[in-house]
Amino acid sequence: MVTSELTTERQSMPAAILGAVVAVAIIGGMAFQLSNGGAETTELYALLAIATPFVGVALLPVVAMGGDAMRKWFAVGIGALTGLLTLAILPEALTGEPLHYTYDWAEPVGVTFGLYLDGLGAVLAAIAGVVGALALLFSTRFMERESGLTRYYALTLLFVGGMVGFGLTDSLIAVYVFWEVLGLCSFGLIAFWMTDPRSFRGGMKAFIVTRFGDIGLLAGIGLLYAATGTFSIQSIVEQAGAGLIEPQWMLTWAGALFILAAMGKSAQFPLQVWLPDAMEAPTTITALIHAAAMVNAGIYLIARTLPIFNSMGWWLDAILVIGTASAFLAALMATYATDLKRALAYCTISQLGYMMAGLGIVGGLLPATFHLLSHSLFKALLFLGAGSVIYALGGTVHKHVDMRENAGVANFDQMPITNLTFLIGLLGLIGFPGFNGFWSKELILGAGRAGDALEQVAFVVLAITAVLTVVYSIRIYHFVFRGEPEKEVEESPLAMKLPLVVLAALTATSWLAVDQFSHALERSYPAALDVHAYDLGGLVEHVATIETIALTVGILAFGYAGFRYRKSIYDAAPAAIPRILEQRYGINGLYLRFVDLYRDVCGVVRRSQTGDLNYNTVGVVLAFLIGIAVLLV
Amino acid sequence: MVTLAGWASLGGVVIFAALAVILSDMLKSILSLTIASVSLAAYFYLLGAPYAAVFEAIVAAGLITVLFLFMVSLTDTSVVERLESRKATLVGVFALAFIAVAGFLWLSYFGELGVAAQSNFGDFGEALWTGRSIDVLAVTILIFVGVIGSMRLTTAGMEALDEEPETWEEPSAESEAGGSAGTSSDDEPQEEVA
Amino acid sequence: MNPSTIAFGVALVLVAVGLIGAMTGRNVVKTIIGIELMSKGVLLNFVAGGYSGGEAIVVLLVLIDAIVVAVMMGMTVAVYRQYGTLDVERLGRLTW
Repeated sequence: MVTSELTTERQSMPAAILGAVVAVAIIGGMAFQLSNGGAETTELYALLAIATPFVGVALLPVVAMGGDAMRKWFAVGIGALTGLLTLAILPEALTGEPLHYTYDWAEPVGVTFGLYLDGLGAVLAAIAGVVGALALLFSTRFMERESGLTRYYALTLLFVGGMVGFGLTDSLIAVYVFWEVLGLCSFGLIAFWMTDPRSFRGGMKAFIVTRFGDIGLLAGIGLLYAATGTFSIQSIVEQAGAGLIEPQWMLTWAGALFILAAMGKSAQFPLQVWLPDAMEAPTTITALIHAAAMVNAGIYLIARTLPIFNSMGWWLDAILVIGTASAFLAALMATYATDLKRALAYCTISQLGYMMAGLGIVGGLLPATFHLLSHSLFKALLFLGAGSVIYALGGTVHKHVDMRENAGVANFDQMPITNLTFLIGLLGLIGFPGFNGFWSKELILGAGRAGDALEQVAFVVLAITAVLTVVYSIRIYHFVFRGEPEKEVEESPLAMKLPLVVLAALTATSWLAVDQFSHALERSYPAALDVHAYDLGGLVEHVATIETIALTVGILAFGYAGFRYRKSIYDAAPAAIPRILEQRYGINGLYLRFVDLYRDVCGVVRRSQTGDLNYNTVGVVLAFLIGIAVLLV
Repeated sequence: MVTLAGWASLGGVVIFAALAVILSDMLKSILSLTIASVSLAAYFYLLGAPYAAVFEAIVAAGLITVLFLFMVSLTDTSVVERLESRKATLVGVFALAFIAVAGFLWLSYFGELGVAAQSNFGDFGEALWTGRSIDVLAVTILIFVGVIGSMRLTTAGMEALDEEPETWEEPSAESEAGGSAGTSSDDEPQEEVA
Repeated sequence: MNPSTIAFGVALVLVAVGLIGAMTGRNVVKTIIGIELMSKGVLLNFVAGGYSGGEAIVVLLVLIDAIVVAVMMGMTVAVYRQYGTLDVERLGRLTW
């Protein structure tokens, strides 16, 4: 594999010492904090779940000095421990009232760090923990041919820590910090093969495009703080419920900026350009970050702040339009893609569009978050399956798997487990009855059908998108997983099969948790949001109506027909459409032009950096004078 | 309270500081700095801060002078040139601006600065070890850091490395378009294989 | 005129002189001398103000000054060894 001075096999002594110091500091700080006041069990689990990955990251250089095997199993162990801790929070959070803990940090400024353990956040954290552990287990074999693995495991663990913290925290400051941690790890892992310019450019693109969202988030948080005087989300929710937030323009702008932030992180149109290029990342990372965790962050942000902003009608409509547009446009791109991971990436954008649209529908909170849960599971499964195929094809060099060239490679004879689990994932994706995608998608479509005019239009578009989803899903399966292979490959090792099987089982069964999940949501959201709680029987009764079944059958039938007759449809379509799709709707060109413009501006501003000591001192004096002017005037 | 000796020492500080900046012979400049330090120490003592005076005299006038002389001798500097004239305008403008602002500040606080009719520095030992204990710890650590830094910086082996840095090919839009044309081929419409 | 006021004025003058020295110095050593003079101005301010505990602060500041000059001496010597010159004009490398 490629080794150069940029990648390291092990970490050196200084990094190990620094890591050990940081780990001791974290543990010591927590012990000190906990010994001051007691801590209840769930709170303890939550704090440990957040802290464990960070301690793991700090200790990783120390452990890495003991060898490759120690390093990877330590990472897996930390991931598993985090997963278990997040699962331990679930019983309490799902069944009881939402738990709220605050820790005062910088009291005069009102900066507190709070934990809010309710159903939604705990589920998000549990997804991150569990999928993180499975992805780490998968990586033990998948990444074995690579170098620079300490960096890989460290960034992955850091990411898991950031996501778990993001889901469990209540304070907007912590939300922003963890948000940035997610962006940093995403960049670091997309650009993991630093010597490959495409990887690096992909990482940069992800970072720059999501930056727009980050700026929106920071500005939105600032506005909310200025309007309410607190950073705690629950306090702001209470204030919003009582109509106490003045002035109105602050709320409006904050809402718009939060939508921008969610668009960036969840790759909604028009900020979606980074996700397909993020496929340069190792596939396990794609499964974790760009399927099950980071892209959920934007959706979760909107869901959390829904009670604050939903008094403004335009906000919900905006989310609905953006989500629906993303879903449809991305599904269209997915039918055109020839690279396996890229097709799955467009599929992710499309499903995230479903969730956004769901949040924009009145009464759509439960369907959207339920789809969040389903999607995380089956999308992670699909990406890990793709990773299994890539591994079998001979390693990361083949991360760009052209589906036409590698046709039939993973068919049932050669890679049975991969084939079967991928099929289960696809069934969940297209909403085949019985799998978790079916229930959540039907809930969203049902909510749309029962709404007002705009929501019904959205329902129609989403239904068409569902048809497209079936088309490209069958297409992916048809190309890679059926037919006569030209290459001989072997099934993947146990460490990779196990996560696939686990995720497949979860895909088939996660909808059974709707009872606890919906009741927990109902408890943590005020009544004004119309969260309908179902138990299992109620869910089946609500969804399995004649209309819904007819809709499902229609979608599946049209999808299959669309696949069978795709050539004739393609010939019949106007010639402009393929061109637009090739340009990726022109957004990519916009991005490149923006980068060029920025570079030119920087080239001009650079001239002020003379490097001359005298001029630099002049600069210091200038800053001092400006400071005096500001202070005195 | 301030006697004639006090005024004299203050005046000495100012004059020799100005000399230290103006003179172009390095040795004379450093010696001016030393004498300015000594004057300042004298002023400290006359104002009733004996410990500060002692420290200032020993450290600034002694230790720092020695360090400066080391600097000058190790780098073979003897005479320093003047500032280049093209810079004089900009630098002069800001220097004057700074002086103006400083003067304005001083004049505006004219009457209110009469705080210390009687300097009350308090018990030195208590102020240092109780009130400033953390600072003492910090300074101790800083001393270690400084020693290690100076040792590391002045070891032999710092040969000239004045090579041109490697230029990194920055991908511009043209090469990016070339690259993305390569990747967008992934999105070309499928040719039917079935 | 209050003696303290004069002392504060002298402190400001010292800071100004040191700043001008740093701004107009052609040699790195001159810049360091300028920094030292600015520091003396600050010390004078503390003493002239007669603040309680001010003497302790002055002592600590003097010590820190010495450390700073020591490290800067190390840097100056290292710079001279690497680049062969202490002229600020030819040393401008923190640039694009």
